[in-house]
Amino acid sequence: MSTADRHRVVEELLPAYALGAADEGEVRRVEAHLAECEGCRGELAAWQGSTEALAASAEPMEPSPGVRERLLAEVSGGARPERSDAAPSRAPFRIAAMIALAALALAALGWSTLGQRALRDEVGALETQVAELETRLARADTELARSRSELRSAEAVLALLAGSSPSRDVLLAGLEAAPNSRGRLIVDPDHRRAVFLAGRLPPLEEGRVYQLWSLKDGQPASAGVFEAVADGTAIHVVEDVPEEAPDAWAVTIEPEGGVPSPTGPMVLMG
Amino acid sequence: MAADRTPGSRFMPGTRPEESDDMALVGRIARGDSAAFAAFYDRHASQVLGLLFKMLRRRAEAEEMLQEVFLQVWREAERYRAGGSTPRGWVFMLARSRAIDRLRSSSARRRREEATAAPAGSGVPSAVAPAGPERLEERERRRRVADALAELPPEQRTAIEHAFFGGLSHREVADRLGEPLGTVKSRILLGMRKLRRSLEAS
Repeated sequence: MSTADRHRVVEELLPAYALGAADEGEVRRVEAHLAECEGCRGELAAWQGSTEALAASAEPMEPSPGVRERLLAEVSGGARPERSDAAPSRAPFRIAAMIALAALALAALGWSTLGQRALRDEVGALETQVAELETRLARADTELARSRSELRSAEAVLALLAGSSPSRDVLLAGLEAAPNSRGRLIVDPDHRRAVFLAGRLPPLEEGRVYQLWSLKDGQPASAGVFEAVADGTAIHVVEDVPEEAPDAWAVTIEPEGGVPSPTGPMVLMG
Repeated sequence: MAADRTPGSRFMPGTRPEESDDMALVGRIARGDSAAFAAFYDRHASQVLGLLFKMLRRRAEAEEMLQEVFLQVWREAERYRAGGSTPRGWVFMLARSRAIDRLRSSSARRRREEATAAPAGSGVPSAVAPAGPERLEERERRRRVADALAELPPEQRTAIEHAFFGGLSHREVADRLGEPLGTVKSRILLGMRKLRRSLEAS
């Protein structure tokens, strides 16, 4: 194809590219050409003006005030990682400033010695409080992240169980340690995600968990740990299922937290 | 989204005043100015939420994403270059790529079908109060786009809306509409040309 032809082809793809509708091959072709054609870069900017207008054609919607509050709380709490050195110290700083002012006020009242001792205690108490609040905040953040990921897992499970994603099934049979146990793994290869369901798992001793493994060429890779409820059923979501279908899947009993490679008795395999 | 990485400089004959305000705000946000961030949020949040809601069709999800988008603005303001698009265009793009990612996740697949089965513009009965006091100019601009869209032949408008608000590629639009790929490509091309001409004329 001559340069002029290429130019003409890309020129016709630019609107779709700006719209986000270009297919993968088209995107590559457009980007290769843009790198060397200033005219097309200018054209693209004009098309982006049209897509911006399109985006703005959606009926605006007033967000709930909570979104703004959370955002502002987060940005003044040092959400930007590279600024974490400056921002998080703000709250303790404000407290320190208040204490300094209080000290001045007390000194002015001629309360110096007594006041200072009381203040020292107060500072200590406040520092403890700040530290405690910080810990609590960190814990809340972790909990929030966990709830979000649980929600996402729940959605994934529902999608797989409802059969709305293409999936393949692997059945796992109980081995000698648990002959009655059964397992079923529903894999969604598109999203490299799977849901593992198991029944009649034997009860575990304190400090033990089940761990799921994928086996490929004799090499086990952990697919996460899980626990069973009282009646021996378990449900476990696996993220990052290996791209290449494993040769087999297995469940072993391992110490709490799981291990890098299997050590305990194998209960299920398939 | 591909446009995200687009190199190239934007030729801006006559930058609108609010655009240069936005540029100044983004510059301040990049330096960690949270007041500028609040101002930027106040200017664009309702429009961005409108776009997210139009794409995702779930208010709670759209609001959650609105928050993520603006956090990204806060974190990445220093990476914004006045090259590819206006600051507002940049935020729209961040919002749209996130929404597309969400739409592509399996749990949302069905919803996308619902959403595109009743394509945008067909007036989704909005379960929410419209935005509060909106700048007149903003409303006027939106009306111009709505007019320009309304002037398009319906099959061109549908193809464009599926691609843009549904986050679908040429091929996916073709599958969805049951039309040949070539037909869809030319509808999008012709529709976009016409849209641009009417926007530039108004």
